[in-house]
Amino acid sequence: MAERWEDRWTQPSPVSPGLMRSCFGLMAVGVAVLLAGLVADPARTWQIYLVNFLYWGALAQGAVVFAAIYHVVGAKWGPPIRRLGEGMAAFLPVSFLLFLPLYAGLDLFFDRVQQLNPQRGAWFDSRFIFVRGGLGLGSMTVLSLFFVYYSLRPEVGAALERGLRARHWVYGWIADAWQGERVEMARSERGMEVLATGVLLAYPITYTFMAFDLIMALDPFWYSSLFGGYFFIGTFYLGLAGLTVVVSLLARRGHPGITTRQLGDLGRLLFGFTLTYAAMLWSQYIVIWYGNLPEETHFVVLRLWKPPWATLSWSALVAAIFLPFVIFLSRKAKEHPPIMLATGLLIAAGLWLERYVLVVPSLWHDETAPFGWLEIGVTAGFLGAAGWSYGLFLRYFPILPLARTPAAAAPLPGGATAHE
Amino acid sequence: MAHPSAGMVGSFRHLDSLLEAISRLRGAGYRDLQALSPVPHHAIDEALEKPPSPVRVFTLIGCLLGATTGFVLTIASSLHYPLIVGGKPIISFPPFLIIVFELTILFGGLLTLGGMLLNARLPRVHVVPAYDPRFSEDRFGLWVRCAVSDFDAVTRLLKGADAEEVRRVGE
Repeated sequence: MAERWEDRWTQPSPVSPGLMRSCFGLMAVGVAVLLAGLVADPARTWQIYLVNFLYWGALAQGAVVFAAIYHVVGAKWGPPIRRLGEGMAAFLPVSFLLFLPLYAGLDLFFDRVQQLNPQRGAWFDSRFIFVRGGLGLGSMTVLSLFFVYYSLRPEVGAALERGLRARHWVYGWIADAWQGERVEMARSERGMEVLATGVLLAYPITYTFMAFDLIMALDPFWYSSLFGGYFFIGTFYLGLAGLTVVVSLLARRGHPGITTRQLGDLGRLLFGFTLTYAAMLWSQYIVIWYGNLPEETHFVVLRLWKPPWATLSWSALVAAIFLPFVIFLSRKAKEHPPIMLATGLLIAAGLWLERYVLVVPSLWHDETAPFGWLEIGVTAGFLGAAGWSYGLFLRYFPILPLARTPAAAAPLPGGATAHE
Repeated sequence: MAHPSAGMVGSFRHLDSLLEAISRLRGAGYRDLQALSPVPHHAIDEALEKPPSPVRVFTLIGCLLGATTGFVLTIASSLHYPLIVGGKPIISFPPFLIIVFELTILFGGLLTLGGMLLNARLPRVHVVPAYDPRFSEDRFGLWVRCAVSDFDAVTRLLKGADAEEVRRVGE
């Protein structure tokens, strides 16, 4: 019943070199399109860059937050799902680097906002927004990476001790100054405890700031105090949807670590967050509806009832809320990898559209929505960068995390095996 | 006819022996099995291959009933006291949906609880004759309901799967 711990390290990685090369190709396309777009139409390029930055970085962070919650509550239902979530931290440093050039875009956007509404003053100065955003994202990235480091360290050290994988500087760096399994396990437990809590405390604060600064403030007059909560719940939902896509892909290929039951549990969790996300949306909508103040309603009316945005907004709602709700009512669907894969992709696509209609209508005032080679190219570039960094993680580390050290997982009297 | 609860009860030290006994008995055509276990374990559910729980039908009915009640309550009370508030229409769905949602969850939850109690036949005043205090401690039990003529065959199957002890119940 129990897979041998050693097998996890000697099995080949599910990521093929061809997949890595395609991701790299997408990245190259993305960079080329981005540079061409900056020459041709900087405003349009920066707005789609911002949409994708808010999407891919948030997807990775949402998945890491899932892993942190999994650890803090002491969950035991899906160790491979936790590890797959941790792995998305590989994109966070890349995402942080991608935030730096965004300064030019923010400068462009907030100049106009300041002209339209000078009362906003220094708080919404693009330099201040950039600095506090950078601090928040930087600290989230550091906390998340250290959390994943503490999760990997005992396992890498134990695998190196047994010579299960060839030495590599990455492994050497992670298992530096190794003190033996027993000590390292205890140390890793303490480290993860503190860092997971840190990630969970920093996450809502940072993402509230991101929502206020990078989305809400783009509209010169609109405000909604719930918007931050809505955004970080939506981001967590996005992280779970991304995880579902990865987990279903592995389950479809028959990965031994992922069972039907775990996929079903992930489906139930995602179902719960469909409702949570809808509730966050609704609780904002109803306040705006009741108050009926023009400075609040214009934001919603523009997106839900005015062309060209109305079609996009309703598609986003259907893809991210209505369809998943109906699909997830069925228990069989939640345990069926192809349906879970399709639903995960549907939610992910819906949430991309959601980010698009949150950002673009505040900045773009033409008759038609901007969507062409520029948008597709930049999105492909971000997809490539996210896929490439995640693929790198999966090539170096096994998907099934260590329950206990192999010494602690020795057979118990009676033939049962200690197993997470 | 034998008593409806007539049958044999095997007791097992290990989960694996219990699972083995379940698969052998099912293979021999005995379908009316009940496991008694000190701990819940998914492997037992899988071995018994029970059909999906009927409780979910109760949940669905409760939710639909709750949603309907929510709509009727909000619409009917607004029509009975037609006060225009903030220039909104008398029947305006945004706030009504909150009541509808709450009642959907409330009725769904209550009917789920009721359906669970009904289907598990709880609360139960008398314990089933197959029960043994050890099944709440450190042994697994398997209760096979069968005809008296099958008692010997069932005993052999249970013993063959390493049952510590086999006894008859409810003759």
